[in-house]
Amino acid sequence: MPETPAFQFVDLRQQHEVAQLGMWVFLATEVLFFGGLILGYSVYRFMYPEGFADAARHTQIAIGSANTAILLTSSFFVAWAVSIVRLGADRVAAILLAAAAALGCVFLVLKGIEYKVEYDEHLVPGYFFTFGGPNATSAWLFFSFYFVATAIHALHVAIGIMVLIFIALKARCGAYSARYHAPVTVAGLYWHFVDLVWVFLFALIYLPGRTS
Amino acid sequence: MSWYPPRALVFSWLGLLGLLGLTVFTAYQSLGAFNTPIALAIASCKALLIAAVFMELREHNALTIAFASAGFFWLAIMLWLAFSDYSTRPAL
Repeated sequence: MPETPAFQFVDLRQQHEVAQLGMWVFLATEVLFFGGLILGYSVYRFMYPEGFADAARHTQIAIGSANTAILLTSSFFVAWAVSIVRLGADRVAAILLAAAAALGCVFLVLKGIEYKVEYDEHLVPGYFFTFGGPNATSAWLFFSFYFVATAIHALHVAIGIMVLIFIALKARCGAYSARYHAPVTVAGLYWHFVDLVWVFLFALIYLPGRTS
Repeated sequence: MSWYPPRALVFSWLGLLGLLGLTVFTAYQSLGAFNTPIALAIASCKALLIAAVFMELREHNALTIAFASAGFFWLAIMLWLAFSDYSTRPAL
């Protein structure tokens, strides 16, 4: 158990702080990575407001809302685990992290069911894409964004699940303590960020066009 | 050794679920041009709750907050410059 800091740090507190700053730098690159997608979406939505509202109405809002609640709850479990691992409750933290990873898996399964529904409704841009009415071209643009953005987000969720399981197993083996727990905090930051991106994707994908 | 969740986390979690319910409810109300700004405002509130409480930014120093804000600052510049172009183009 690394109870002593690496040689370049004064103490574990400083090492912990630097680890968190490093994660925030990585998350800043992720903000701009997803930001490019959201910019593309915003420009096309600005150009084709009716088409985007029409297309967004065809998304599965029940599954999308359930998935939002699932990710928010998993984030709560991770934040809870981070707060108690500092008090030395590493076994309970391991259970909470595993529960968060399990919720992440439920998210991916629901996402898969949603993709199947959209595949059956011929909403996947490609040869079999069909969309009635005058908005077929802009609906194609909307669903191109939808599939790219949600697939890249799902990849982030999948990576996050693997990280959480790894950290949970290490916590189960007693690798973290009240003094040394930086990996739990840093993994938690990544998971919360994946949740935060979904909050915006949910507002952009599922909510438009519900009134008409 | 207490393993109960801190009260701030529980309230934030319940608040986030409440905001989720609110944003789905308002999406179905006919508010005209206000639907999208309200949806984005609620999403921003949720993001702030996640960042401040779950990601513990409220307990961190100015340096960490500057690092955390940097990406969003540059994203805002990108959106601002792009829309200062697209929103002022004359219709063809």
